[in-house]
Amino acid sequence: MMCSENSPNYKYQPGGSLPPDAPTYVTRQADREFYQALLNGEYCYILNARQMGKSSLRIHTMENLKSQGVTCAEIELSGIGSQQITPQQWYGGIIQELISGFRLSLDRRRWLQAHDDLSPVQRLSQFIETILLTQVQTSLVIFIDEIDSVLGLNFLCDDFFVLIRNCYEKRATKPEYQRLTFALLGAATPSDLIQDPHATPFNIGHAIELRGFQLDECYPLMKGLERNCHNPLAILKAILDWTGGQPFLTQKLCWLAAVHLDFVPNGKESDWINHLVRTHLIEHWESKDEPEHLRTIRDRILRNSSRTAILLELYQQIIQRGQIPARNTPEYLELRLSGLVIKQQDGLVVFNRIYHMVFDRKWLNHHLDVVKPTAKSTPIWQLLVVSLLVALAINGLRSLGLLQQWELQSFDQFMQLRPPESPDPRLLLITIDEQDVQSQPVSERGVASLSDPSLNRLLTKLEQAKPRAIGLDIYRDYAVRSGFTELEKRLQQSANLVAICHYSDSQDNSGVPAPSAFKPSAQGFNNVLLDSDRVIRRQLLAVGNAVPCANKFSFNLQLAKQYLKQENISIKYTPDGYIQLGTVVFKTIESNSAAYHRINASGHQILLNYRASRQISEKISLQKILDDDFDPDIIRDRVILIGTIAQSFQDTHWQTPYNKAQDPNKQQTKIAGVEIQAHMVSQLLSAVLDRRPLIWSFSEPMEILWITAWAVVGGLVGYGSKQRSWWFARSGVVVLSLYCGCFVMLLVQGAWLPFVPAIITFMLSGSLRPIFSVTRVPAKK
Amino acid sequence: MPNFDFKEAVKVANQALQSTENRHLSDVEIMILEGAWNRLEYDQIAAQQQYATSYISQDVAPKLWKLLSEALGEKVKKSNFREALKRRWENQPLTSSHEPISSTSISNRATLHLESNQTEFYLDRPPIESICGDTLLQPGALIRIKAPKLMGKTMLINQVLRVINQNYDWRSVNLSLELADRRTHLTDLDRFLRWFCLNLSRELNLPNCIDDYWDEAGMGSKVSCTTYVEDYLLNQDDRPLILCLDNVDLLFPHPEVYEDFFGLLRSWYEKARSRANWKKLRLVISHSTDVYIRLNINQSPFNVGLPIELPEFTAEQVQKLAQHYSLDWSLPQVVNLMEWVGGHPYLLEQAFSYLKGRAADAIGQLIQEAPSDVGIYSNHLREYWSNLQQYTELADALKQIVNATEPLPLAPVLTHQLYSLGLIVVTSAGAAPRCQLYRQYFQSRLGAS
Repeated sequence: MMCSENSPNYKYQPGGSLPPDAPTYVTRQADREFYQALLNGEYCYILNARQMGKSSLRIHTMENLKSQGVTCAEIELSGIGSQQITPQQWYGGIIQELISGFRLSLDRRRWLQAHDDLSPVQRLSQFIETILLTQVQTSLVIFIDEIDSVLGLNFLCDDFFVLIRNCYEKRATKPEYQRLTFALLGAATPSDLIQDPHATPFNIGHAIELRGFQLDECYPLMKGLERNCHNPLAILKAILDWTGGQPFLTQKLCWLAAVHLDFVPNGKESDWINHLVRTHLIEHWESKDEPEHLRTIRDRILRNSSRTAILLELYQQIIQRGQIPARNTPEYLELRLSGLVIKQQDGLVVFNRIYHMVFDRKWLNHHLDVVKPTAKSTPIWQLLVVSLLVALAINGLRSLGLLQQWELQSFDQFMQLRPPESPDPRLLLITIDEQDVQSQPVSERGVASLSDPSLNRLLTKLEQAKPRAIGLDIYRDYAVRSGFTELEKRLQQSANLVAICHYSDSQDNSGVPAPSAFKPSAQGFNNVLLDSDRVIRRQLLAVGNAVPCANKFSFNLQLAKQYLKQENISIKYTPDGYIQLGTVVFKTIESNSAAYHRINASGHQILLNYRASRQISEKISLQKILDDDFDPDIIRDRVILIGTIAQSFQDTHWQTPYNKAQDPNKQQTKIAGVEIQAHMVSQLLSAVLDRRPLIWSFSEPMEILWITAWAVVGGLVGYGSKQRSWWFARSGVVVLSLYCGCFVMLLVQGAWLPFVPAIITFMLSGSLRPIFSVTRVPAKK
Repeated sequence: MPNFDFKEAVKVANQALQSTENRHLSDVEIMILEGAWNRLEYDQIAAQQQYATSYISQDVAPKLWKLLSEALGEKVKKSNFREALKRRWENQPLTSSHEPISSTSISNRATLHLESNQTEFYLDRPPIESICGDTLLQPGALIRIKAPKLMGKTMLINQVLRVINQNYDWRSVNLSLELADRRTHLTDLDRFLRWFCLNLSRELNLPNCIDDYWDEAGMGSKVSCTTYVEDYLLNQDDRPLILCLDNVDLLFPHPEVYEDFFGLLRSWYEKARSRANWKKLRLVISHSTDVYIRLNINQSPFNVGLPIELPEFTAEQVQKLAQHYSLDWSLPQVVNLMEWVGGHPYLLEQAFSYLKGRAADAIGQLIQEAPSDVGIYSNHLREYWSNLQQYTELADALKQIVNATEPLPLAPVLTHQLYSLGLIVVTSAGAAPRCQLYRQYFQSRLGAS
């Protein structure tokens, strides 16, 4: 049995320094290092978290040094400084503490009066040299404890640290300084204490690192556990498993075990200690944390809200990853000083399992929630500024036309996504394909796709079936051949026949007039407008100067006009000069409308809302009409468009948002000119008769406002997202809804919203937020 | 009739102030009177005590003359106060001239009900007394007693001192901060430390030598205080010195004083680890937990020494307490009362002193009226109530607790604060009202949920 009664002065001591003869003092690696360094006259400093055993280490080291003939004295700076103290009082207090600590004989007041002409720090320096070093003839060590209390003074203490460094440097010239050594202890970082790297004593000193107790060092703690069990080592092991050797917690848990544990059966040691830790340390720890330890850690992290957010985020990373690489930046050092985390090899880890349980994810998230709004309350105006700058930049890029291509592509994509519509029942396409062309004798046809006899026969058959309008999308810039006066007469007299012409749109193109047989009112130009990527997205209704056409209206408008004549709808003009059919006003676009950048917006241009169907209308080949192989009902009351789709006539190479595929060589992507014209006629008719939406866009100022608004939304999302992953998730949701919203608006209302710039500003201003949170408020000294 | 000396003059001035202002002269005022008595100029008076001259001549002194003018009913100045006080001294009846001066008179006022009834009787709460006694035998010991108010902290200190004084010939000082003037002493570190040292020497029956050791300009008041204690008070005698500081919580509203003072105490504690003189010092600090403050994080927290928390009385202890009031109660009777007030020393004593000499069935009425405004606890409860009204968050939390039938887990901070106030008990399942009395009273005050 290893039962033994404890000696009366054997006790565990959580909190406060251990007396020199304390039997529960644990000697660590740092003890030997500190003692040896001081014995060798090295300046030392121990800057570490609270309750890691600094003061106990100091007391034991002093005792050991004294036995080697070294004279020691400690100065507790917390016993000198106060909030109102002046430098003169503070340095004077240090002198008094040195007098009392080294038992010097000196009439302090008189000495001070005699040195009245010196500055406070010079007096201390003078005192050390002329009094201290002369009266004490042995080696001497001055321990300065609670060094961080200088941070509470209302003046800077840089002079004090410079003085210490000077004492070191004087060793070279004045040998008596070789007897004097300083040791500094406290819970602060060197850079908190003194800014100037050339004056700091910390880079000439020996840094002593304090670690947790290791199991093989802990035998002094074992004795108090002997009467509670067979195997005190197992108990101790279980304790260290929880505390990680943290001195305060280890002493406290040993004490709890000695007081609260009945006799522990073999093999149950860790169960019993687990229970003890849960009931006495972790549950309701705020009430049970006496003497204060966990609350000190908590307060140190939560004390300063601007830095707290950073510390909590850092701690969060450690909790999430288990370990993060240690750095020497102020935040990392501050977190280490709290005691919560400790450096292990080159990484930072949570010191022990108790901290893990107490400062858990729930605790962390709660305080992140509390701290984040206040931490970010300052940069809310910054956020607005950033958002506006982003908006300005994107609007600028846009006004330079750099986004035009992306915007057009996204428009095309939206167009392709629309659900299919039925073919337009008001139209019929009569197509002239390769076979039709070849079946006409070359002697009759010449180079044209349709010979005069064929045309005559076609028109005869068509007129019998009473269409509302016939559009002849075939160039006929030659007179009717002799012998076909019947045709010529028909062309001149037909009330509903419209032929194409082509106006001159550049110097090298003199245009193509309509056949002379056509009246001016029976012709219309077939010019189309290509965007920079050679895609047709616009429709031309009329132009100011259509020479050599005899009419300013386009072919498609003429056909629509013919069709609508029977509905008693004719072309009108609004006071603004827009063309109006029935109640529908066709507002023209401007040179910077929608995605466009500085296009030529002359004439009556509108955006072309293609009918979303594979075939714009029913089609029938020329041959079938000529062969009478058709139902006359498909002609009655319709607009008939006659045009060629034969490859050899090169009117089949047009690109629309639908066929603009990645591979432009694909055959099926081609669309014939007559089909484009059909789409245009269809858009006009369905707008007037079916109220099908026309495509429109915001005015320029509205677009700028829209883009700016998304910049602000992006900023807000970034601002409200504490973690990067939240930001990703929220941005994803916003981007998706923006995409859907723009698509639905286009589908239902015909609105072409600037989707691409909105997305760019949103993402950009949102992602800039993390950059701003990195530009931190510097820690207040 | 004694000579009219300065001591008599202070007495007269104190009486006059007592009747008009209901207070006594402060240390600095006495210092000015003494200086003026000796026909010193203000700058000399100020220099003597390391005060700023302007503070004395422009702030304290004019106010003092104005006060004395009102108290004595005639215009008083530095030049004529001596004669004015003498006239009053000659005219007053002899009987009232024996009032003790300064702080001692306040100590009488400050005596708690708890003690005045019970100075002789102390109910042992083993093992706390022996733990405290054993600890104080250690060199440089420090004990911190903390409990909600009216739990018997002061009585414990008195008892521990009594036992030590019976067994050892030690020196001891028992100083309550109730004796300090809240406005003048507790708000300024320099004045507080002077007051502190003055009272230490007075309690130890040593002449006041503060001026010999005090050098505020040269080394600040903290080191001055340390020097006074080390070179004068501790150096006097080889016997250990027990210094009990009671009601330290009075300092809590003044963090500017509290933090520095506790930093000083902590440095003394560290000195006592290795310096012979300081090993003689044994500190006992007691404070109520009703108010909580945060220490300056640039100093170590005051977590040194042995913490003592006062638990409630057990049923056996309550039975003994009843016997002291000549109530021969059986354990079931005791348990019955404890269901209402728990083991709360003050509540129990109130009950027993009410029941003493009354009929045995008086307890029924007592319990019935207890949670109301006419019961014997009405003052005690009202005090809690007015306190709580300032903290709606705490009041809301308490409302939930008193209306719950099971212990309620609440936010740790709130739980801790209510626990510190002494209103709840905390178990692993959550918080519950401390006793039935509190539950009923606060249910009626805060309403059912």
